[in-house]
Amino acid sequence: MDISLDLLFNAIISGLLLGGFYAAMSLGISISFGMLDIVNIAHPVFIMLGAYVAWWLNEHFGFDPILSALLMSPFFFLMGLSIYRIYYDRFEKSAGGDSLRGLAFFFGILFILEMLLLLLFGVDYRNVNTGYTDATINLGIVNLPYRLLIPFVLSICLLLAIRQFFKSTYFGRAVSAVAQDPLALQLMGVNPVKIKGYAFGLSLLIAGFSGAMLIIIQSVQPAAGRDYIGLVFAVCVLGGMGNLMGTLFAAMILGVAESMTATFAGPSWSPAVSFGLLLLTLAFRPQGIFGK
Amino acid sequence: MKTNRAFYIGVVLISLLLGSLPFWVQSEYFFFAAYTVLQFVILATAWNILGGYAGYVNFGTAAFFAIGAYSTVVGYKLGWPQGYNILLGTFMAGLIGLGMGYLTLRLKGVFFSIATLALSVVLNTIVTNTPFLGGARGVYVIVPRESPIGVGQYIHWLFFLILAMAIFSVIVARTIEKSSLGQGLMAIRDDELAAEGLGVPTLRLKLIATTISGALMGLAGTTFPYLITYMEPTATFNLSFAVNSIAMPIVGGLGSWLGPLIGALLLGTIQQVASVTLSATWNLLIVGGVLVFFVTLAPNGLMGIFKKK
Amino acid sequence: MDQSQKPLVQASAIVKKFGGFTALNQVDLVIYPGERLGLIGPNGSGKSTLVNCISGMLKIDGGSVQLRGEDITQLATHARVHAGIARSFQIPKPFKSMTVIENIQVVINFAGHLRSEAGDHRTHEEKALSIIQSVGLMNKADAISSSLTQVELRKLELARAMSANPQLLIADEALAGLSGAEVDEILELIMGMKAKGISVLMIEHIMSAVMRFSERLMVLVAGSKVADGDPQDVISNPEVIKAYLGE
Repeated sequence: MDISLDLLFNAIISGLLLGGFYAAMSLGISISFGMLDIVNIAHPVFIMLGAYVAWWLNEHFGFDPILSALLMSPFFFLMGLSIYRIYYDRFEKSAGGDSLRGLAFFFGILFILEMLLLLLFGVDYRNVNTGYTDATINLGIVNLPYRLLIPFVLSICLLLAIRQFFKSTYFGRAVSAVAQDPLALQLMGVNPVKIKGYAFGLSLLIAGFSGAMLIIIQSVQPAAGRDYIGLVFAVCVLGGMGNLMGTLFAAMILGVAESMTATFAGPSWSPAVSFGLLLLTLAFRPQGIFGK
Repeated sequence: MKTNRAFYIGVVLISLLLGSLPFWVQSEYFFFAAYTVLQFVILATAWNILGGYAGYVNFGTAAFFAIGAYSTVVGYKLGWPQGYNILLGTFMAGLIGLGMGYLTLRLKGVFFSIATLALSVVLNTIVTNTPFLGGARGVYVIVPRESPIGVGQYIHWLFFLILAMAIFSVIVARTIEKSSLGQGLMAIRDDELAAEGLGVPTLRLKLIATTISGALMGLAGTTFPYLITYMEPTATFNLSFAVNSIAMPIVGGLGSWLGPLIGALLLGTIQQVASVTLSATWNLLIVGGVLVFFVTLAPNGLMGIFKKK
Repeated sequence: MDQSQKPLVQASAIVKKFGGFTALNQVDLVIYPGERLGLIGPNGSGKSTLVNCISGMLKIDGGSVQLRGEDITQLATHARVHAGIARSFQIPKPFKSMTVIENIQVVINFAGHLRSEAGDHRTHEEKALSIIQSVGLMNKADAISSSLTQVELRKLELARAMSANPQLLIADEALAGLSGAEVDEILELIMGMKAKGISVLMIEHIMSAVMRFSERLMVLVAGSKVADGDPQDVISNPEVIKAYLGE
C-alpha cells in the first residue's frame, strides 16, 4: 500500500487536534462518572443538545458558536442540578443505592432527548458557517484547519482551567473530597449532596460547551450522540477514571486511532474504534493507563 | 406443588388457545403484529433473568438478537435447514454472552453494562463491513409461501415458532426464579459482597445468567430473517430493542417472570397499535418517557402497584 | 482450647498494601479448634483488613493463609466459606428483599448443606428454623429483613454466618452501637459457639466484652502485631497501653 508520509502526518495531526476536543467531550464524564460514580449514559446527548442550541442561535441570530457556548452555560448547569436532585432522591438516597434503576433512568433520558431533537430538528445534518470554518493554516506538509484548531485550543484551555479549579478552589477540592470520602466531608460541615449536585451541573455545563464546539468541527444529526457514548466512556476509563490529565492523554490516543482508521481502513470502521478500545480496556486493563 | 400444576395447566390452555388463532383470524397483519409482541416477550423475559434477578443491566439486547438473526443468515446462505439455524443462533448468542460475562463481570456492574453497549456497536460495524452478511446494503432471504406443516401460510408457521419460543422462555425464567440459581442471583442483586462472603459462587452464577439471557435473546432473533425477508444492520441493531427490553420488565415489574410478560404484552401491543398512527420517533419518545416515569415513580412496576392493594 | 492440637487457621506473614500504604506488615495470626480469640487495636490498625484477607475478600501481597494445614491463599471467598470460614459484617448486609428465613436459606443452600453432619436428615427449612430460634428471631422469621431493628439485624448477621456451618466464625465488630443489655444478648450468642465446637475470632472495641470473651487476645497496631497471649497479660503490656492511650 502506498502510504504517503503527507497523508500519515496529517492523519496524526488531525487525530491529535480531534483528541484534544474529545478530552473536552469526556471531561464531563470524568467528573460525573470518574469522580462521582454517576453513570450518566445520556451525557453525549446533552452534547448534541448543546450543538443544536448553538446551531439554532447561529441560524436565527448569527451568533458564533463560542458565544452561544457561554450563553447556554448557566442553563445547562441548572439542568444538571435539577436532574441530579431527582437522581439522588430516587436512586442514591436509599441505603445501598439502586444502580440498576439509576442506569435505566439515564438510558430513558437518552431516548427522550434524542427523540425530541429528532422531532424538533429532523434527521438532516446541520452545520454552521462561521468566518473561520473553512480556513486553514498551512505549515509545509501539515495542514491545520481552523475548524479543528479552535476547538482544540479551547478544549485544552477548558481542561487546564477545570484542573486548576479542582486544585485551588474550595468547591473544587470539596468535589475531589466527596469522591474519596463523603463522610469526612459531612463531618466538616459540608453537604455532600449539594456538592455533588453542583459538580453534576458542571459536568452538563461542559457537555453543552463541547456541543457548541462540536458543531464547529462537523455537521451533526440527532443520533450521533449514541456513537459518542463509547468515546467518552472509553476515554474516561482509559484515562483512569477522574484523572483529568489522563483523560487528555487517552483522548489524544483515541483521536489518533480514529483518524488513522478512517484514513487507512475507511470511515465505515470508525464507530468501532472507540467502542472496541473500550472493550479491550475493560477486558485487559480496567484501571486505565494511569489508574492504580 | 399446586402452583406448579396451575402454571403448567395455564401454559397448555394458552398454547391451545393461541395456537388455534390461525384457524379463525383472517388478517395476515395480525400475525405480523402478534409475532412482534411475542418477540418482545422473549426479549423482556431474557433481559429480566440478568437484570431483574441479578441486578445487572444489559444495554446490548440488540447485539444478542442480531447474533441469532445473522446466524440464521449464515445458515440460510449455506443452505442449512431452519431448525439447525435456530439452534446455531441460540448457541452462538449464549457463547458470546458467556465471553462477555467472563471479560467484564469481575468488574463493577456498570462496566458490564457499558461493555454490552460497546458490543452492540462493534458487532454492528463488523456486520456493516462484511459483504457475506450483506454489508450495509443488506441481504434477502427467500421464504416459501406455504407453511411446512401443510396448514396455513408461512407467517402462521413463524407465529407458531415464536409462540413456542415465548412459552419456552417464560418456562425457563420461572424455573430459574424458583430454583436455587434464582435464589443465588437475587442474593447477588441484594448484596453481592455478602452473598460471596456467605458461600454463593457469585461469578459462576452471573456467568450462567448471562449465558442463558444471551442465548434466549439470540433465540428471539433466529426467525427474524424469515419474517422480514430483508436483513440489514440498521433495523437489526436498532437501539429500540435495548430500550424496550429494559422498559418492559420495569413497567411490568422486575424480579418475577410475570413482570416482563405483562410489560411486553402491554407495551408491545400499545406500540403495535400506535405504530399505525404515530411515527417511529414518537413511539420511541413515548417508550423512553414511560421508562423514566416508571423507574422514578413506580419502581416496582405494575406488579408492585397491584401487590400493595 | 487445646494448643497442643494443630491450628485450625494459620495466617502467616500477611502483607497487604493499598498503593503506597502498607496496611498489614508481616502479620501472623493463629487460631486453634474451639478457641475464642479476641482481636483488638486502634482504629485503622488493620483489623478489618486482616479479616478480609483471611476470608478472601482481599488478595494478599505476601504471606499465606492455611486452613487445617491446607493452603487456601488462592481460594475464592465463597470457596473458603465452603471450606469452613464464615464471617459476619461490621455493618449488617442483609438480603433486603428477602425475609429472615429466606436470608438463612440462601446460606444453607449454598454453603451450610455442603458442610452438614452425616446424620443430619432435617430439611433445609427445619435447619433454618432451628438457627433462627437459637438467635431468638423466631417471631420475625417471616419478616422482610429490611424491617428489622439494629439488634435484630445483628442477630440475623450472626445467624447467617452460623448457617454456613463454619469451623471458624469471624465476628467483625458485631457489638458496635448496641446498648448494654443488647451487648450481653449478642455476646452470649457468640460465646455459645464454643459449645458447638466453632472457633470464634472476634474483633471488638468494647473492652469489657473482649475480656469476658477472649481466651487469648491479639493486638494489632498500625499494621503490625504488638501482643498475643493471655488477655490479662496483654492488657497490662506497656506497648499496648501506649498504643491506646498515647505517649
